Amino acid sequence: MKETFCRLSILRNVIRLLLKNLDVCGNTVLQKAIYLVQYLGGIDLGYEYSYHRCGPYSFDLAQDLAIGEALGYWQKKVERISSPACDYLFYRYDAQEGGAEVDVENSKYWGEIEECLTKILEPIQEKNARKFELIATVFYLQEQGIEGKELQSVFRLLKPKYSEEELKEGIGTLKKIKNSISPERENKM
Amino acid sequence: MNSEPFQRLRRIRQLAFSEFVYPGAGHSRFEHSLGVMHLVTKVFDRMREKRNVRDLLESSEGLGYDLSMWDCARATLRIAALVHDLGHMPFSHAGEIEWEDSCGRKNKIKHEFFTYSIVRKYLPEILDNHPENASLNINADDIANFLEGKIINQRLTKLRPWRELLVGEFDCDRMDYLLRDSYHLGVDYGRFDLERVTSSLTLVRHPDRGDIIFALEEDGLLAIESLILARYYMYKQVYFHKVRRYLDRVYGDLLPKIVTKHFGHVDFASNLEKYLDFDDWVVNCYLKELASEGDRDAKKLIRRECWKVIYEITSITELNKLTEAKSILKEKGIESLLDSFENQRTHKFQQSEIMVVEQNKEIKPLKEASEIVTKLPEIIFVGRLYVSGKDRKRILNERLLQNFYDTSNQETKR
Repeated sequence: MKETFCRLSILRNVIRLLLKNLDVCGNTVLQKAIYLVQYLGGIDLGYEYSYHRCGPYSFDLAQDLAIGEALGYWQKKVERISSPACDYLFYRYDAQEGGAEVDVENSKYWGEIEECLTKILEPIQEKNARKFELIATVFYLQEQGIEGKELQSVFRLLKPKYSEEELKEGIGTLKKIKNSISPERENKM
Repeated sequence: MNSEPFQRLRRIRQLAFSEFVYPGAGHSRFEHSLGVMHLVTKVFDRMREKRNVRDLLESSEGLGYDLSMWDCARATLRIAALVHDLGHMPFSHAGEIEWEDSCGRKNKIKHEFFTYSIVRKYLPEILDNHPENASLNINADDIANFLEGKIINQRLTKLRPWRELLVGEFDCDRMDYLLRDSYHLGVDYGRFDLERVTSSLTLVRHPDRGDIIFALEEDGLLAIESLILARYYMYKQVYFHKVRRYLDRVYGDLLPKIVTKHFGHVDFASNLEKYLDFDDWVVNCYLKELASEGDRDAKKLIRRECWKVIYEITSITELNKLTEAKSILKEKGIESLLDSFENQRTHKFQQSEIMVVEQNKEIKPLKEASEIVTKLPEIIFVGRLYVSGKDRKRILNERLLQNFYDTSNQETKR
């Protein structure tokens, strides 16, 4: 149980940090940010990911997000985006003060996550769900060994609403993130 | 089906110790796996007949399905459904406890991990020489990756939407276990209109992202509501039943002892043969042996001697009360067993992600289409504190937990 509270306290900090940099912190941003922290940053938060609908997704994390909301760690509000091009609902998370507090703020563990997340956020120009989805999906495909032209065609099948330009920009941004998180690894590649 | 890993499923009970509450619950993962294969085939064939689904998958703007891709998708889905539970521990989910690996790290055993490993190790021999696979060219890695939700090539990208029939809001795994469990247990909570649900499923493009997802045609809305409610009621009434949960916990605590007796020190992740040798029959033998040696927990399982619930919460927000109650009992020298973190989400996906296609072809989230579903709690939760019958009498006589009952109105329950 203590471990769960610890995870929830970390997630609350992640939400706070994201909200300093983004207008909206929703499910997609959270799912993809944690994915990048775990698999690009190498910091294991214990969430297993597989590919679902809009990219790498963790059911365990979705479960924690629901538990954290029920315990008062954060609040989730549903909002509607409506335009001629699209009409859908999304969730907006706001950190709250409820839930059992585990002091992770001053731990080395949180320090590493904060540093990693800051490095992930820095090169992303438009910090929104669409960009997080793009970067996390490209990284996911690269991790599966899909590169070059195959990456382009697989990505097109998965995400027809992204343009070639966006994909190119996403690959470039990901490269910058990789360089800033682990320059040694990137230079070797 | 004649392979050793699949036949082992005959010896893995679907509902662990539910049989001690509902005597009919002796069914196994074997028939469930067959049932899931039957249902995915039924849904797949029905969807293939739908013009909008064919247009979406066959067009070049879609996934470019041709005849061989349709056949490949059908066969992949059927095989994946058949093998999706191969990795279960004895007594299914009751055996999914924390386990120490060869490096001394503690990890929770997850049956999915063993399923993928078993598929990768045992399926090549079967698939590679199967005459019906000559034209399909499906390999074991494809099946494991499909189950695991991995996309490593174009074929798996094209197969991706079908995975939601195994891991999704309307998945056939869920449809089968709800109906099968209801039938065997003799309860009605898990029933829903299967025909209507299976004929109402369709594929659409997500209105914003453009990816192909499963959705529900509006005329199946009531049937889907009843499926979601059925799952909710089954968790409340059957899967989280107090006796079953208690026996599951006792079994979980005993399991390392049983494994050590049978195998010595073993790391199942690197020894699949031993894992496959481990089933309900083995566990039952050792339970009897341990009970005859005087093991208190083994005796409880053999004789169905259950501790009693002394305090129960149904909202996760009351979690601290449960731990407080345990501390009070500990101070008085009373041993208790806490079962506090069993929870399930009502939905697999966020409600905003579950789409309904209206008569006018507009796509709407379930959250807006169904008032009933929206009102269900997102987490199905129960937490309990168990004590022996003797201690329960003492706690009630001395009113040791009186403050807790007063605030949660549990006095009447007792």
